[in-house]
Amino acid sequence: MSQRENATVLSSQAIAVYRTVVGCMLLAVLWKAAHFWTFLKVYAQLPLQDDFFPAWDRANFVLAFAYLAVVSASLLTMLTRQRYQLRALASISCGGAFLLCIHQGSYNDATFVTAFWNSLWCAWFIHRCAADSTAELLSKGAYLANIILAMILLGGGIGKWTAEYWSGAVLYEIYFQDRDFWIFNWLRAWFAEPELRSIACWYSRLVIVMETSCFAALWLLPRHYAGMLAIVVFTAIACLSNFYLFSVVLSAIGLATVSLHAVVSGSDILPAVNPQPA
Amino acid sequence: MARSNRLSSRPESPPLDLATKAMIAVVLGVTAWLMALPLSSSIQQATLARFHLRSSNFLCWAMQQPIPAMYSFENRYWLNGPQATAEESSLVNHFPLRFLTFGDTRYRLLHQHQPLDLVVRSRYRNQQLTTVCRATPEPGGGFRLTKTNASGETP
Repeated sequence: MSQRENATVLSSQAIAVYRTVVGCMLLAVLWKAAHFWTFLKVYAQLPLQDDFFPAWDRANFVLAFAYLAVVSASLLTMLTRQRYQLRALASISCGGAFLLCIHQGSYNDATFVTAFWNSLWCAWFIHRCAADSTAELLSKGAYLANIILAMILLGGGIGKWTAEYWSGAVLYEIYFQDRDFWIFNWLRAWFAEPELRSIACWYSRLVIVMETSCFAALWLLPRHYAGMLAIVVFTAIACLSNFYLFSVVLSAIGLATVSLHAVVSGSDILPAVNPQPA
Repeated sequence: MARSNRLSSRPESPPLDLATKAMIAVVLGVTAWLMALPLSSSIQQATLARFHLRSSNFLCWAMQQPIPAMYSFENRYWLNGPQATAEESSLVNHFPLRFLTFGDTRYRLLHQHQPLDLVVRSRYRNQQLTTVCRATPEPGGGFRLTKTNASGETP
C-alpha cells in the first residue's frame, strides 16, 4: 500500500477492529428495533408535553432521525475504508447517540448511553488513525476502551451502594418476584419466598461486588485479560438477568474486543519477540 | 532468548497525543463524578434531580445523560389515577418517570385519555426526592405533564 493510500485508507487490521466495534453497536441499537417502532407510534398517538424538554426534544421526527442516523451511519461503515468518510460517519453516529440519550422518548434507555461511549471511541479512533501506526492505535484504543468499560461498570455499581440493594429488596421486586426469565422462573419453581429473598440478597450483593471490583480490575489488569474479563462480565449480566440487556451490553462488548486485537498486534511493537527478516 | 524477551517485554505505551489525552480526561472526569457520588450530597441531589427530570435546567440535565447510571438508587412509583389498582406500586431500575415518558407504559397508563397521578420517590443513602406528577388530557389528544414537590410546590 502506498504512503498516499495509507493516509486515506485504514489498514486491514484497523478496519477489522473498527468494524467489530461498530458492528456490535449496530446490533445493540437494532436489538429492540421492533419495540422502538411501536413506541414511535405510541408517541405519535399520545404526545406528552413536559416543559422540561424543549419542543424539538419531544418531537417524534427528531427521535426517528437520530435512531436512523445511528443505524445508517453504522451500516455504511461496513462498506467503506476511506478515512474521511468514516470520520463523517463516526461523527453522525456519535451525534445521533447523544440525541437519543437526551430525547424524551429514549432518555431512560441505557442502550444509547453505551452506544454513545462506543461511538465516541470510534470518533477518536478514526481521528487518530492517520497519525498513529496500527499497533500504536490499537494499543491506545485498547487502553481507552478498557477505561470506558470500567467507568460504565462503576456507574452501575456505585449507584447500588445503598441499603436497599445490599439487602436484595430492589432486585427481589424487579426480578425475583415475577419477571418472566429463565433463571427467575426456575428459582421460583424450586424455592419458597423466604429462600428466594435470601437468594435475591446474595445475587444483589454479587452484582454490587462484581461491578465495583471489575471497575478496579479493568484499570489494573493487562489489557487482553481486562478485555476478556469485560466480555465475560457483560455477557453474564445479560444472560443472568434479562436478554433485552444485550441492547445495552453489546456496545460495551464491542469495545472490549479491541483489547483482543491489540494482543495480536502487540508483536508489531515488539520486534525482539517476532524479529522481522532483514 | 526469544522466550526471555517474551516474558520480560510488555508493549511500550506509545506517547499520548492531544485527542487521546482529551478522551482520558473526559473518562476520568466522569469516573471522579461517580466515585464522589457516595460522599457528596450535592452530586447525590444532582443525580436525583436528573432521575426525576428536575435538574435546574435542560442543559444541566443533558450534560449528565452520558454518565452511566444503570440500575441505580431505590426508585419507587405509586399510581393514583382511575386506572390504578391496589398493587400499582413497585420498584423500577432507574429514571422512575419512564412510566409516563417511555413507550410501553405510556400507552398502558394513558391510552384511555384519563387524568393520571403518579408519585415517584428515589433514595440514595441519606438523600431522597419525591415528585408528584399529573398527566392531564389536552384537547388535541395528547397530555400535559406537571411536576410538583411532595410538599405541593412546583419545582
